[in-house]
Amino acid sequence: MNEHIVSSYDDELNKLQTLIMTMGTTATEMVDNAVDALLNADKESARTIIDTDRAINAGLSRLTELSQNILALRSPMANDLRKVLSAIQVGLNIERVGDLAKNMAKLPISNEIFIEDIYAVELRKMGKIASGNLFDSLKTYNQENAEEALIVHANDIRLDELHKAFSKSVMLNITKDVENIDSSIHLLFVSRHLERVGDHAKNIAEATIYKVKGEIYEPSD
Amino acid sequence: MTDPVVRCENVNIYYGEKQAINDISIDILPKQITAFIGPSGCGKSTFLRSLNRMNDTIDGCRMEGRILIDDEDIYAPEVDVVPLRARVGMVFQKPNPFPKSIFDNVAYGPKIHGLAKSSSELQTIVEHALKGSGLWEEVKDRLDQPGTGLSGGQQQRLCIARTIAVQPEIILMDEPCSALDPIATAKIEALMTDLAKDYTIIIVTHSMQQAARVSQKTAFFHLGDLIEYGDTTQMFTNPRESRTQDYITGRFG
Ligand SMILES: Nc1ncnc2c1ncn2[C@@H]1O[C@H](COP(=O)(O)OP(=O)(O)OP(=O)(O)O)[C@@H](O)[C@H]1O
Ligand SMILES: [Mg+2]
Repeated sequence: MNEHIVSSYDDELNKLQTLIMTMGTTATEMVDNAVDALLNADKESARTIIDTDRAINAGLSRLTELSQNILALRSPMANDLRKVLSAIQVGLNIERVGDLAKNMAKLPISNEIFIEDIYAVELRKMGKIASGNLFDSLKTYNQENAEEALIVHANDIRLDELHKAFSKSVMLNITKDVENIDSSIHLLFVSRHLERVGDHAKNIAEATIYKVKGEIYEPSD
Repeated sequence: MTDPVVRCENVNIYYGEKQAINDISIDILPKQITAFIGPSGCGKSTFLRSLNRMNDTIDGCRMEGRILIDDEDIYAPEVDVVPLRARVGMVFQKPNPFPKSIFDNVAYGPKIHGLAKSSSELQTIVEHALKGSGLWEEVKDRLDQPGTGLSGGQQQRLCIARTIAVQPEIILMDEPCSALDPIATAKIEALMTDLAKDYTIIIVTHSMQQAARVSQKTAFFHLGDLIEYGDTTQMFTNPRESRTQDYITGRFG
């Protein structure tokens, strides 16, 4: 890609990208840590996650401000315009992931949650896939790789299936294990949250496709 | 599909030995605004002037190819350029009112083209043209004052009134706002959009934002070539050619 005649313009666009990647990496770690904190009943780590969410929100404010300035002062066109618009889109999705991680982190702080081993294994697996998809989608965004974004987008199915299977299994168990009904409800909540992290990763992959190709991606299903 | 009003076929234009336009073919659609953009010296003005044979007046300027307006070859030997230039009017970068009254500035064209049979008819034409250019309210009480006494933006609208007074079909504009402030520019742009209901407008502009704001079609010229021509929205959000993208985003070509 050729550089702009006005190099400070490139600097500003690059700043957007850097900010996105910083926010995105933080959100990815938050998801991993939230699952860990839950499984290890680690309140301290959970509180750190809640604090970190503020940094994500501040990042989004900064991103909005930078984007606003570029739009108002540079009147970006074509691929530059798409860079700014997609950055806002990705930023909003990262911010939502931060909220989801924060919600999950609140659980071990105020609840004693009983997690059977088989469920712990499943949740860990889902957490890894969710954060992995998020990371991969951010990578496609950073590298402007639309082909890879399509693959990441398609990968979300796996997480959906795990979430469905997990929920079904917990639901069946709920009736049998009335004593731990609260824990079961919390586990359903976590599974649903991880599934939604995957949806945000999917949205980011769509933003990559828009950024690179200028097409609004509409999946056929 | 609407039929194009202007068809250019394999147009080449030379200044002496130097070729300024290279084999350009383009169709312009009626009652729309088409913007010509491109770096300085790429041939926008040259090409624009060929559409009403203004280049004929430049020594050593030669053109090959065909330009059809309403299926009529405007370079055919029998074509009279005077009515042609009324039919294809032109507004320039620098407003150039005659050193005459506001009224006479507008009345001049209709008079020489014999469009008014009586002085009351002429008055109607002048009023209509001044209303059409959005200037009427500002000048109706001082029609006898010199046109050169108006502000730059008003002068430009006077020139537009002068152009539409002879009932053109097509209006060519070469950087009509480059000497105007943002308010005067906005007025001209609003006027252009209004005029496009009745006229075909082709505008040369260096302002990407202006091209994006007013036009439905955009043509990008580079070194005498037509690089890309398409819907304005697409040109400014997702151009097909990397040279177009480099130009509109302000990158080195
Ligand atoms: N009267 C002329 N005699 C000789 N060469 C000319 C003449 N007018 C224009 N040219 C040359 O033809 C080429 C195209 O010029 P033209 O004025 O059409 O460009 P343009 O795209 O309108 O540029 P600008 O944006 O600066 O107005 C340039 O190389 C210019 O030097
Ligand atoms: Mg010019």
